Amino acid sequence: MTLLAVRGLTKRYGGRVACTDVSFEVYPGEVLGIVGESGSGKSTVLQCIYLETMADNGSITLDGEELTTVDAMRRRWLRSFRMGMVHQDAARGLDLGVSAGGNIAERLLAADWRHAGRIRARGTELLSRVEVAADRVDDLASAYSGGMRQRLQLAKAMANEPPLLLLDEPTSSLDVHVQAAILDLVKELHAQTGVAMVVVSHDLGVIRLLAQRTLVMYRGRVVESGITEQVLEDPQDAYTQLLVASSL
Amino acid sequence: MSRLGELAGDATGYSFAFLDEHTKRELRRRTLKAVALPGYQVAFGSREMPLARGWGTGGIQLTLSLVGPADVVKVIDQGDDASMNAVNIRALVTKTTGVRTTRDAGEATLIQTRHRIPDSPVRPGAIVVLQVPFPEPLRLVEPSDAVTRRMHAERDYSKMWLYLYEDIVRYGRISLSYRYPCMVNGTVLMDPTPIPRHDVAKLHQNPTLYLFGAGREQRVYALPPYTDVVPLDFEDHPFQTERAGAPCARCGSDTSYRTEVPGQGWLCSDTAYCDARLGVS
Repeated sequence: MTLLAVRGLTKRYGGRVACTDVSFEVYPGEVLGIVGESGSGKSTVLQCIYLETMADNGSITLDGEELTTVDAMRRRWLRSFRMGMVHQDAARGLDLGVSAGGNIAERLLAADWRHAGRIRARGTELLSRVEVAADRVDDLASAYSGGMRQRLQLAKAMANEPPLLLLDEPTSSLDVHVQAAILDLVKELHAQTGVAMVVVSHDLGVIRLLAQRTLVMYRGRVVESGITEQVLEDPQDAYTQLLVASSL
Repeated sequence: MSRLGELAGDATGYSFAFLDEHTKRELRRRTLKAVALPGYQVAFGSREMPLARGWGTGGIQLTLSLVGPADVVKVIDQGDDASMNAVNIRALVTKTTGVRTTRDAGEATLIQTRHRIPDSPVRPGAIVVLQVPFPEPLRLVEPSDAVTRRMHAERDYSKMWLYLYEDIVRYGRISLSYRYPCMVNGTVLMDPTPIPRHDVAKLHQNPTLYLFGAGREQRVYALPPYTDVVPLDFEDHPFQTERAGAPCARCGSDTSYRTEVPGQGWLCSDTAYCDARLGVS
């Protein structure tokens, strides 16, 4: 049973094509990587799935439900219960003027939690799962460091235990040693919860570490796909070969 | 030197109830729409009134559009029939209509009020008009009108809930003391105006028709009789009304809304209610 199926996804911004005819599947518990240079359309694909932007053509189904035609209320519900997103820029995924616990609470409130004490306790529990100290739960998100903000985004994304997490360059704006810690955490969360993930990154190291299968995108198209190791060790497409050869 | 009264001329040149008939009719249409959609903010073409916007022009326009020759009108400001705002509004109504006025909430057929609901029972079938400074309950969490409209349309009130949660995190309790957001019929969030929480609690399943007029913001909304009005709260932080420190030092009431007056202790804010208990009128 496919969890997520993308078919012929196309998105244009004015005359510019962001992505065209992108198709792939994600199975429950699987981690799919999408790699490509900036401007290749990989983030657009993720934004279309998360319904931040509407696809021009093609279909996206999650557990058999067509996402491209849902109304705004259903979209919000899907984002609270069926998908979680971690943005590269934490300010897009978090409300920095609100406490860390409040950021998580937003999702729980959407799920009709109406007991402030239990909301805070659940927030603390989620923060401990992403290795943030319990006494930071009432601190403003703006007081969090870059790495902690990514951890907070993960905690928020997982608040209602959705079956699918979308990670858009989750570590690209972090120091190298913080990057490693976050990637470890993502791997651990995946092992613990079995949540399916789509990870978008320009960094082959991130893809190699996290993804079981990988798509390579170039100029809005998928140019190669397969088992991550195969794609990275024995690239077939000329662009993938260049990408692999040019990585450090 | 002319006196102001001479400059203004006599009142005979004005329509009954100041506003022209078409304006009143249009406002009544808007009001009917508001009654049909409890809690929903209906736009209306707010007119220039002989006092500044933000001083009760929404309430006045509603009152003037509804008042008829047989009505008995009561006007109060923060519970007081004798405050300047109330006196002036009452003078405008009487001067342009000739209707009788009263202090007795049980006698009035039309009550205009600012920031209070009378503590004495309102006459069955009477209409209570409230003056509204800010009709948008989501203004606290969202500055853009385009966005708040979308939020209402999608019943997306998570930001308001989050505000209340953050309040509890910061202060250990919900610190909102007035303009307490309420869900109407379980569908739309409403600003009950700056009435105390004591009065907010009275709105639920109330037999009276409440109309809300915001002149500056050009909105009317309504609570028809027996509407569900439920303040937002948490299971472990339930909505609570204010507690006065003592019974009224004047009439001894321990159920009215009381405020502390320096040197005089706790007194009923509704002066007509307090006087009636003492047999003074």
